Amino acid sequence: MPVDDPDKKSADPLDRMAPEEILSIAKTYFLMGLAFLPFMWLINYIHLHRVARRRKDELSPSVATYLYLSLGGCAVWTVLIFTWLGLYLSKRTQWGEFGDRISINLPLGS
Amino acid sequence: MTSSPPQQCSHCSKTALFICSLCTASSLSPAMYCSVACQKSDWAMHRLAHAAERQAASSNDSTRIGGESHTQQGSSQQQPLQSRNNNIANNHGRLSGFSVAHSASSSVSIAHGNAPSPVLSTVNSTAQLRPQSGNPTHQPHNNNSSNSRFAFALPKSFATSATQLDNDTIDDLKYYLSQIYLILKPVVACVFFAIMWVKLLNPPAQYYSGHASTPPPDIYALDYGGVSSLVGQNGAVSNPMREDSAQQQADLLMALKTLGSVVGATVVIFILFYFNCMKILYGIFGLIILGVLGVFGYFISVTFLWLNLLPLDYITFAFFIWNFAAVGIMSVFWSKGPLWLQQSYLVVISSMMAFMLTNSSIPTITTWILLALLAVWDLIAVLCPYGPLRLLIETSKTQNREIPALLYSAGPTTMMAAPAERKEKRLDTGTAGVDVSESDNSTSSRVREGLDNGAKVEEVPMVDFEEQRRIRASLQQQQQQQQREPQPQATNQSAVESRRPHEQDDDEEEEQDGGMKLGLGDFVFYSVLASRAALSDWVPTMAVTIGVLTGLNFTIFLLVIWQKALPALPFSIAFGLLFYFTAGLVLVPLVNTMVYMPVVPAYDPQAQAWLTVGQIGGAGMVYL
Repeated sequence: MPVDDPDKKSADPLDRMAPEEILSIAKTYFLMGLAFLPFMWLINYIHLHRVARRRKDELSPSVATYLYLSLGGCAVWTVLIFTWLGLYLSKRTQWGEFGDRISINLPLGS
Repeated sequence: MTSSPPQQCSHCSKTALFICSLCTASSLSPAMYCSVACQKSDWAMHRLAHAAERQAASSNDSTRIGGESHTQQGSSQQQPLQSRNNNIANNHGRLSGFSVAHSASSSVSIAHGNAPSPVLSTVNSTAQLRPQSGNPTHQPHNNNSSNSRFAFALPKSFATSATQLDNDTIDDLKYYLSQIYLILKPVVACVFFAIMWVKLLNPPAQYYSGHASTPPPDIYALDYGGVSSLVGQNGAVSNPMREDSAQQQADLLMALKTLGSVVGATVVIFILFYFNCMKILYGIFGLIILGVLGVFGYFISVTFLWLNLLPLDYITFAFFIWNFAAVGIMSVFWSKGPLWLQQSYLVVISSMMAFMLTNSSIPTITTWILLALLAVWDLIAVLCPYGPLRLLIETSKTQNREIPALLYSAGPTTMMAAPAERKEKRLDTGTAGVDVSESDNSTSSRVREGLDNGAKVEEVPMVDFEEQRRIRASLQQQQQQQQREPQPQATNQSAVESRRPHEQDDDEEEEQDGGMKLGLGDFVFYSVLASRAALSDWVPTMAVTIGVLTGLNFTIFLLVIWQKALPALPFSIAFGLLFYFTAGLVLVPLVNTMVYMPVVPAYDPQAQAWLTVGQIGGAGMVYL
């Protein structure tokens, strides 16, 4: 196992990045996630939230804003998806032709 | 623990905490230092003292065996370190804060008489590919560590060369032990995923002799697909052995064609890389990865849904695929993303590629022949002086550019968006710059981080997948359109391109400043081997997995010994094939005979389905 370096600052390259760079990363993730990509927002949050907490002082507050916006957006999308899936899976047969048209496969016997 | 007497630092006259480890074994008055920095600054002068002592000792023909071997070892040890440092084409010449710190830790531990910490990273970074910071302090510290270790080690009758080799190799081995896990983990994950796809999806082209791919679901069988496929596969293991000659020739021809396109792809990619057409390379790789993630993901998901009779609508499905593919592209090509995400995506892409390779209607025998040919090609391409892969590695080293998206890196790597810019940035910002450009660290790469300063390792993972996909596409094309010349040519062209990066990665195991790199093609072909074995029973599957991992371990061991880029395929494929055929021909019939339960189908009127209880399939699996 690698030895813990006494002079090592941190294992996380994020800790050594300039605050502007972290801000740009957060912003890029956020903007990319706007294209119907809640997964991107989730990754944004997971990737950066520890660093944001650790370096709260030197990072600009917009980083935290972006992170929480990403998390919130991801939560909203999740709710939407679950709602739609629940609706679709339970009402698929009742929707008749519309249900069949938007289905990928039609299980036998349904 | 020896306690150092309170003395003053030879350099700055503060209280000294460390001792020069060379001095502990020599008869000079020991030089004491208060910190690594002081030792470094003083080394220029103190080195002369040791050199003079060495001269005196060697010319005096000292009767003291320990001293003699010590000095011999010391002097001879200098050389390999130096040559290693020179070999590394140290382009950046940056000091790694971490490597210095490692040296400090080693000198600390040495001063206190402990076993040297595994600061193998400092030694190992010299190896192979990536230029490590040619830190002059590496030498004295390494000398110190090895010399002091030697001084503390008792047997003084070792031959000089033997001890020297042992010390260096011990350091390397220790280092690589810690790194092996990082490489094994993704390989195991990739093989596991590939096997999982095969087992889950029961690919239609499962019947060996080309039966029509009947849809698995049988209304009266609960275990749809499983029973029939396994029964169909019962004799599949021995099938590669028997085939009429015409078919064999056709298979051999197809394998040769595939290999040809792989070779061609490698050459094309190397040429593109050599002439710095990075944008084209990136474009190609991006397209291929997008294709793999999108098309293969679509195919696998649809098959899974269909086999398991799950309904899903297009909207949700498209949404999930879009998310999956977009985040994948981002994580692979953008270095600022999390490393763990990139590694996971590379593994998944490799496994999908391998699955599609085995799923497509390539006859089994062709796969084996292809794998064997690839192993041979790997050997040639990496070890021969003009092998494309070796040239690619060297070009990457000399031109200081990372190969895009072809390598899986176990540690943080830097992505080269534009080689020139990156280079400048690195030189300017030194360690900090490298760290900045490095992607997030994986857990155990702290050591590597320190060593990574010089490494311009691009995040490579994706290319192999692309190649795989191209291979598959081209193979399908070949099968479908063997009469029409132009089309296969075009396909082969693209296949060649995509294959080449794949090929290159296949063969290279690069050690990146302490971070090992494994080509994506290696992942793919390991997984192809495993998934092809998974088409038959579990016993050959596990045997092949173990064989592949054994081969990988052995290759890594050799990598440590030889310190150069090695092909990762030959050993693993050899072991995998050997284990597969042994298991299939010997183990499976043995287990089948030992577990004897005739199949008894019974109809359950309530469930309106058949229950089949008994031993079905091979290797003693009992199915219900």
